[in-house]
Amino acid sequence: MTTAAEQPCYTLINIPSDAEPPTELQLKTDLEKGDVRTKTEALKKVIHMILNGEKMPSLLMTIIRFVMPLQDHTIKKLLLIFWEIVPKCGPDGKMLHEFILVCDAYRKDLQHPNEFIRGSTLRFLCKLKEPELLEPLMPSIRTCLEHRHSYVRRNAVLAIFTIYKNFDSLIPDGPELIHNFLEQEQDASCKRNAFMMLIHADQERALDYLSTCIDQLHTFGDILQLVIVELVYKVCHANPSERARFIRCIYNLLNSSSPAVRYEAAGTLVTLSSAPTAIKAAASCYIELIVKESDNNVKLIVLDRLIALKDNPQHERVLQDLVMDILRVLSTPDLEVRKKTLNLALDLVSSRNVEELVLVLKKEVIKTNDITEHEDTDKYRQLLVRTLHSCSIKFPDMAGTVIPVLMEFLSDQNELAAADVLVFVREAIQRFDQLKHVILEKLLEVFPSIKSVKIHRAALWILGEYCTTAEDIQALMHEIRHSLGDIPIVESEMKKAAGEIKDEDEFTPTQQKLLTAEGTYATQSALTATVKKSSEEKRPPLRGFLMDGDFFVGASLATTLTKLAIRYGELVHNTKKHNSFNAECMLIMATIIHLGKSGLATKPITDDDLDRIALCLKVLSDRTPAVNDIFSRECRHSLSTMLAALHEEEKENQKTVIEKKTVSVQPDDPISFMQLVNKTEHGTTEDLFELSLLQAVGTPQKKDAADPQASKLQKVNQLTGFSDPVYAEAYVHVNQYDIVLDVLIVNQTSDTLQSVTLELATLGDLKLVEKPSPIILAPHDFANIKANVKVASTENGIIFGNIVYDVSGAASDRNCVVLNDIHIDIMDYIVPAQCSDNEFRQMWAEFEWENKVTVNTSITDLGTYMGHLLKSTNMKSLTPEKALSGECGFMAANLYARSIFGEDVLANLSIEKMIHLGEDAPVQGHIRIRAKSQGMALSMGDKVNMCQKNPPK
Amino acid sequence: MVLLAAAVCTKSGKAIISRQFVEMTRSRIEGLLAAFPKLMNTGKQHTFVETESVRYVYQPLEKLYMLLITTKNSNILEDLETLRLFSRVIPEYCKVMEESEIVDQSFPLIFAFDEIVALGYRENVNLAQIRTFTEMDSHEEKVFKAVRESQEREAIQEMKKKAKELQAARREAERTGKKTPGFGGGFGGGSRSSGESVPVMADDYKPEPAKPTYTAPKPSPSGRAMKLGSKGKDVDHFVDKLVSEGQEVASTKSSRQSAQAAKIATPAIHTESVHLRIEEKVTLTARRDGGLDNMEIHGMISLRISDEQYGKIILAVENQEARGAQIQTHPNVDKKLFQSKSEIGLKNPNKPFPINNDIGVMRWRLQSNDESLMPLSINCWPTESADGCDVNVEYELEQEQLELNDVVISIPLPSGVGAPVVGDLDGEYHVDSRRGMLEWRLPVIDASNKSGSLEFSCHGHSDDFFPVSVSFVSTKSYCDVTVSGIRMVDGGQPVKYSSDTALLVEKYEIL
Repeated sequence: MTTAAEQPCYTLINIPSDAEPPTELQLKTDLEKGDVRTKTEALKKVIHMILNGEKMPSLLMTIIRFVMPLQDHTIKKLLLIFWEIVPKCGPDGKMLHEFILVCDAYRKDLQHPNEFIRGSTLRFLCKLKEPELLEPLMPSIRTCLEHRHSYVRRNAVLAIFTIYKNFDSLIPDGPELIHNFLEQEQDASCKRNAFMMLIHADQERALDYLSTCIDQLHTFGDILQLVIVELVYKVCHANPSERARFIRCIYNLLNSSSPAVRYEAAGTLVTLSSAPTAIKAAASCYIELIVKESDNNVKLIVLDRLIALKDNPQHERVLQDLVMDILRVLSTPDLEVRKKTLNLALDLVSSRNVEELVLVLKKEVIKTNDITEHEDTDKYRQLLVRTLHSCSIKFPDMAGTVIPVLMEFLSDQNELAAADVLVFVREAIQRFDQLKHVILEKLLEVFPSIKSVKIHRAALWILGEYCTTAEDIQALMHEIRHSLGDIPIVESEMKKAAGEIKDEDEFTPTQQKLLTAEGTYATQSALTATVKKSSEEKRPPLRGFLMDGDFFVGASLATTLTKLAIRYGELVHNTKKHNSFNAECMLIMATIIHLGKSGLATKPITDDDLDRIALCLKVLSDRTPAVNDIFSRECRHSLSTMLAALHEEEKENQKTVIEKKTVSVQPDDPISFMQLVNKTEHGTTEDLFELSLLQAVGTPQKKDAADPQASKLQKVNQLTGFSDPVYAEAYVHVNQYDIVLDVLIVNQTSDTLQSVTLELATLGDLKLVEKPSPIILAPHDFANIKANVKVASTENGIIFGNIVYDVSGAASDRNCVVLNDIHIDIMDYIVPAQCSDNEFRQMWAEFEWENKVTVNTSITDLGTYMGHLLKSTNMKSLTPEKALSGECGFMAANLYARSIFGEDVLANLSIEKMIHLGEDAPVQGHIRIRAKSQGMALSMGDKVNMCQKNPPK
Repeated sequence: MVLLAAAVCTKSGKAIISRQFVEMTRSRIEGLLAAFPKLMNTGKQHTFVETESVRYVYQPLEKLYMLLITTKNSNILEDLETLRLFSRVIPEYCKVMEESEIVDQSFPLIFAFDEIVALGYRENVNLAQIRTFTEMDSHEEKVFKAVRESQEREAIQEMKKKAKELQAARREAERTGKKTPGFGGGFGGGSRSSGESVPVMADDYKPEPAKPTYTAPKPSPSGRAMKLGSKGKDVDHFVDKLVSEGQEVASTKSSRQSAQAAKIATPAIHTESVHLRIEEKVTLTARRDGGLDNMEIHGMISLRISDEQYGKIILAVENQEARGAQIQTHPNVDKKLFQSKSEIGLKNPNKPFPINNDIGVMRWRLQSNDESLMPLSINCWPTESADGCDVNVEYELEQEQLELNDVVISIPLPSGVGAPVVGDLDGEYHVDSRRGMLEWRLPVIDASNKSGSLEFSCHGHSDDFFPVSVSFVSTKSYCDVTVSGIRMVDGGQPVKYSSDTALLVEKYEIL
């Protein structure tokens, strides 16, 4: 028994449900007695209601008698939709008798003088699946092939196509008929449809036709060219030996005037031949398309095709030659496209083309300067910087030319690009010793013009770390002094505020005086405010940051100074000089602390920063070698280990990619000979067109069918008790967006049960698609009822219900058996997913629902617990494996998953093992789950609780 | 490209209407549509989303989205084209882009959607065409209706007329007092006429009578094949390169075309303003064991005059044919002149020949079953042996005055036994595996090389190698009929003329 949900569905109309549905009786009178207008409206309503799952068997005859004979065009078309959706079979699975009448109406419409009525009737016939109905129509359909109007002809071809596909016995000579038709035909649309039929029905004939016109391909319309490409693809797929015949033809189509054809032809050319010239032709065609088409969708998808090409190791080399062409895509304003392009270019970079590539990228970077500021420009510049960074790391020779250009950006307003430049500079200075001098010089040069705090801080660090000669140190010191302005800061600020600029030499005012001074000047606030504003602009950068209350930069300045002082001490053995250097450093630190405490800055110094600066002061005054060592060497060491770790990770990634790429063929693998393989075994690469269509339509693939029966049985739910008069059990089959309940109902009594109805209701975000219809059960008989439930979001859904029935002959009320609840497991909808740390943090901040679950388990090992959790919740750990390895008594990790409906769920795991409670102490801690919707957060929490209760065996 | 469905959605992603173009279940399409709002990305500059199984392509329309669901392999360029068309259709039917309006106009929209896509493939239509298709305003239907109406009117008038006549007749009969011979006549007549004039029920269409059915003009034989312009060269270059990289590329010249070409190809000749064409066609069936079943040679002299001043001319024919050819002249040709002087001129010497037209002025037919008259005899001798068949083929030019060009002797091969092993041969051979033919090609056969042979071995039965067919062209005619000169009717001075002669094969088979 097939339910309506399994029938093909061609139309969906969502009507707002507030309107009162008309009664069947009213519709009937409207359809019978009304004028054409009323009938049209009534018919529309009937269609709406049928689409919403109502079955109105009584209206069928009314429509046949009173609506079908009408000549109105709208009615005729509406009727076609009505015939499409109306159930044509009775409950016994046989066609209703009324349809014999309808069939005659179809025949008349096929001979109608109005070509459009003929055409649309023919189109409707494509959807008709009843051979009994089609059979009497065949002669009329054939004559339509010769109709004067191409509209009729092209629909006739489609009708013959689908009829031949479904029931080839009805028109056994279909391909021949169409082949003859094709040879006579001139209209492009008709030709296309006819050719399409030949492709699917009789490739031999299609090829025959193609060979007669292969030289005129370029004169054909684009839609015809497209199906020809499809044919070539299909033929060559089934029959690789035919490939040679079509290369020339496909190459001609690469120059077609229609971009769609070019795109398709390029894709097919790649499957036809893997010779470098072919690949190159296809790739250039793709690139041309990307550059010429203005639509971003096209650009992105075609780029994906290029990337797919690149993934084949054979083709990669060809693409490497085309890198410069690929870079032409960068002229697109869309960031997404540029990002993809840059990534592709970066993957393709080789020692041969790196120079050119870098040159172009440099030009692009410089170009971004001229463009008026746009939000994406910043991001684009950042992307470029990153790409240049990776290029230089791959090919160190390039770094020398790249760095000077990039350093210009440090002074930029835009933090994103500048930060990336610094990351790059840091790596470069660490890796490439020969560049150190150049970099330092350049960095010192731009240092005063840096405008952003973060950049300043990072630049300070780099300078502090790598200024190793006395001259450099002196130069840096000079810059810092310059950048801070007069010290002590408090003093000079006070003076500025007062508007009295005093001489430099007077710089030992007491704390006391300051306070009073501030007290007195406070009265002149109006004046000071204005003065302050103007002085703010003049302030050197570092002082500006400090005055704004950003003392973190102060802290890092202190660290830098400490490093410099220590290093200076090692380099210069003049104690006097050394001491004076130390003293100056300490003075700067002291004045920063002073400023922080004074309240002149907009925010006072934080305790952390204060601690840090104080520590640095202490280090400088104590000068213990151990601490000195930490400052001067260990920092560098930790940087190099970090870089090494990054590098290693990258290598690891690359290795897996390469491993994926290289097809591993074992020496003892069987060799398949093309000639010896029969056609069905050609499954090396499946026909992509068919495959994607099947996937899209959701037809289960054959491969799944191989699943052992056992797994299916695991999903059987018992719904009633064994001693109930009606026994029921359900097999729950979860598809992507719907759940099919296959319910087995057994009559355990010796009475005939009448109108046995399965009534279902749902809780949660589930919706019953249609009500199962009542059945009759003979004594000890059984029946299967299918019900479809639609799922809209990930939530623990419950389906509950009951079975009601009448016992024949008994006068009692209806009997009822209540069913056990069916719980729908959300795990079927959750798949592990990956996201970046940034995205995770952003989502974590955005999501409104949090569910905090306390860890309550008997598991004693942290790693085991986490493994169990991941396995039973389908989540993926975002924290790298390395960070989790080792045993330290606690563990924190971020987990992420996404439902197939596109809902994100985040979790943060923080657990510890109380060592003092002994070896067998269970794991303790919390799991915080965040999601956008409440249902998701709750369901996930339930799931976690459930999995805690069932420890792994 | 396969377009699965076209839908109109609200800004929040709820589908208002959706039309599917391929078979899919309701739950599937509802699921796909329900997933869309969650996948839809805002703030990006592209408007497509891909999932594992499908691709959504959409376009915002004020408060709505026009959404297409396609397969992942679908051609995006084509899809966007379709999407553009779809989104231009909507404003045609809806005044405001709002949910309620879409619901109101759902049916016209669905009808229009149907016109754009057929079975998932885009139709080649524009907005105006969609309009026409959905309006369904058919000229033919109007004509049909008008014809029917006038027929009905005529029938009614006829009926009235008949009724009047009958009445008059009856009155007349009453007046004369005679009884009408068939007493039921009036009644019968009336009933007959009313039977004729019963208006046909509106829905009762008879199958249309002899409609002017569509007969497409024959596609012209490829007049312009691949132009050998820069593009052609480009292709050749590409192909050469591919070949050098080890990729096999077959040439486009199919054998069928070359055969066709051979038939047509007769060397072009410089034509004067008076041009003669002497063409002969051979139809021949011979037996494999010798013996000619039938040979027919049809010849024709056609005349083409392109200059008016040479309209009135007379052709002198030299007929030295001694093998019994029957000669016939055009009815307009003066028979007496021909019989007496063997000259061809029009019956009315003042009338010129038509200008710029090929006019057949004389034809002849030679039929025979005398072997010795065959132009080329073929002896094909298969010898069955233990492992297949050795086939010897031999030809001999029987008529030594002939010179045959481009001779192709096609010997059928049994299918599925692989290529034959060809031994000694004169000329060259080619195996057309698709048609299952061994083609033995000889550029020229004339008196100097009047015979030759071919030997090959192949699996199969001796019957498998028949019928052998032969094709050739020749610039010498078989029958010795020539035009010795042309002169003007008045004056008699000779006229310069050009001529070409061709002997073609229509059918030449050895059974």
